[in-house]
Amino acid sequence: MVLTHFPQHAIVILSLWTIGILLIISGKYNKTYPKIGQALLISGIIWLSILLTNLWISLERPPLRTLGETRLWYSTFLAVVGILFYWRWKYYWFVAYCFFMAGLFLILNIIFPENFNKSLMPALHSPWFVPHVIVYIIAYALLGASSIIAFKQIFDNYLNKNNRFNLLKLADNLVYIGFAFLTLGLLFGALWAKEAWGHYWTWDPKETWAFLTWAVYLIYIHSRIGNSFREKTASWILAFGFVILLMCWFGVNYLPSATNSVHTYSQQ
Amino acid sequence: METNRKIWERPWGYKEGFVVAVTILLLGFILEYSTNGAGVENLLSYPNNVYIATALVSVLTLSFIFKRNSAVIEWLSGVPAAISSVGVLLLVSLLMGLTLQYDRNAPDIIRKLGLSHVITSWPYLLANLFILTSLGYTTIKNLAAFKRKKTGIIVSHLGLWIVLFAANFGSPQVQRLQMEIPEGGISNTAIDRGTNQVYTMPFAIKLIDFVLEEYNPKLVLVNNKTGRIYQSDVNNSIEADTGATGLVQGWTITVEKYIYTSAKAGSHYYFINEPGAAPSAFVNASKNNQNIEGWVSCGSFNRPYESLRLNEEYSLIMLFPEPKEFTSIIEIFRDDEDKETVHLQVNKPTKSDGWKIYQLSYDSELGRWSNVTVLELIKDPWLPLVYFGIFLMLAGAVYIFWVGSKNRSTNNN
Repeated sequence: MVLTHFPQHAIVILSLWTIGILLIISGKYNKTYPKIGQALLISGIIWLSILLTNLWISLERPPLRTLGETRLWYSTFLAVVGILFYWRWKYYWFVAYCFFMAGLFLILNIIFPENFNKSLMPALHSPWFVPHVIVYIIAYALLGASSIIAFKQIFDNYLNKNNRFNLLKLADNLVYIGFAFLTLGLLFGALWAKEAWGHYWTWDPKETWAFLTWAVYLIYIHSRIGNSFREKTASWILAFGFVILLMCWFGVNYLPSATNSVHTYSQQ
Repeated sequence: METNRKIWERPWGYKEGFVVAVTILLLGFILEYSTNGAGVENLLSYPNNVYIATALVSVLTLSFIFKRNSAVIEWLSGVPAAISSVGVLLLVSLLMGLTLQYDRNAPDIIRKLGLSHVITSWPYLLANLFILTSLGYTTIKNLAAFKRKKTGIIVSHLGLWIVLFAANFGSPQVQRLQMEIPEGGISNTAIDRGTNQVYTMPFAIKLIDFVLEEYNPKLVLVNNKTGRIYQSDVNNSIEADTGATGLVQGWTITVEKYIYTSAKAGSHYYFINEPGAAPSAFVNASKNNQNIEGWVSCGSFNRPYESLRLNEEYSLIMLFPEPKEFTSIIEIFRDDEDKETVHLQVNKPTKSDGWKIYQLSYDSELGRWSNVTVLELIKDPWLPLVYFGIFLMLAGAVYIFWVGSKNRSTNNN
């Protein structure tokens, strides 16, 4: 199976990305460096996409079931978000953070290899499966990127009290698009649940945490209306939102409240 | 940003939001505790849910018409109340996310505070009433002063309000029943597993056949002493299929022959087709200079399993096959001599007389030889309203995606 050689593939991608980012950062020495850097970043993304496609074909099912599989998608989308926003705003620290996070998720998959397994339980045999998970992963990638900005703002403010939170507008754009995807993912999930489990919302632990994630970003969006909250507070809300998001994605499986969750798809 | 305005001086803002939020939470927990954790299940049961829902809509509309300029309504339809009410619901949900729900062994204090049954507790009800009020006024206010560029805001707010309203007040009327039918049998009764009450359905269902499709079983190594399955690299299992081969823990394992339904005679397994015939495989395992051959089988409800000992440490075993799809071929009979044949599967429910019929389970001990199917029958009269709300929210999400932050700066209340 293709994933037998996952570490080798991942190391190639990680090398492409590391050199690419270093070249982008060292743009002041030579104008052509960033261009080569971008080409390397994109090559890495293409390599990863081919890997995912092969995985899909060899597993004979969408590789979206286990945490390890979703991490690969997350890594891909986060890299895409990073490069798109780099083209739009030219913040090299942003693209660096995005690729650092994307790389981190690949490394996690090397450290915790999974037994890639063909079987897909009947509840997942549905046309909703792919849109539900993909839309969620795109939302997570965008919101993860927005949290990078929040953490940077908080850190900058810690170093320099007079720091203006002028990057928060950039975060707002990411949150808006991310929140739209988050809402779509949540509602697709509800419509699917009605078909698969008989009810659109049962407060299964995963659903509870998905709602919590959605609610935090809802608060963030409202807190930015007319700048009624201090920007420092808003940055903290955004950072907190990502913690809840990670809890929903990974943490839920380890909570005592999730003992009977119907959303646990990987056997231990 | 708030100035040096004193609390309860108009316009109300975040200070009041904080006080209201704390009051609602405290009131919720006091009510729950003082009723010994009885919750609001009885209070909201049909037809009370309809009365309360109607009262809420009437109060919201009438108060907006006659008192829209009051400090309270002005505040409730603004951003601070929105954040405050979402915050309260978030806190209550967070408690639910951290506590195991419907746990019979929950400590007394958890139960008395309603934390073991959050969705039927006072704090949850009050949090929802708060958000329905605030969101309701915001929606009515935007509708009353309709502007085209506010369409997206109105659609998403109204959608969320309808979903919360219909889901909360509709849930007491949701009926979830189970119907168990043996192969060839027919049934027109279903049972509520919560109350054990039996209901007669407006239709009868006959089970023609139950079919379970399975994946090929997996071969794994198991530790002879601990009984744990070996897993430390990507490849820790091999699909049992003739010709399949793989490397696990240094062992090259080849499946020489795989029989899906078999029985043992002497030292061999042979194809056989009868209830309980189990999957088996003849495998070859080699590592360094060792070469071991033999049969493995996962067994079934009436046949023993067989493992292959590789060395002191490990044996090769076959796991039970996992279900791929299960189908009940059923006939639904209605009053008017109308008969319909349906292939019922998970994710492919069917409808009859206002009931949705789901494939739920089967006799898992017998697995593919199960001669009984368990169906779930669900009725939710409020569902169309929920779907309407979900549809509006989807439209709102698409709107946010397209328009993004363009209108945001102009909306500054």
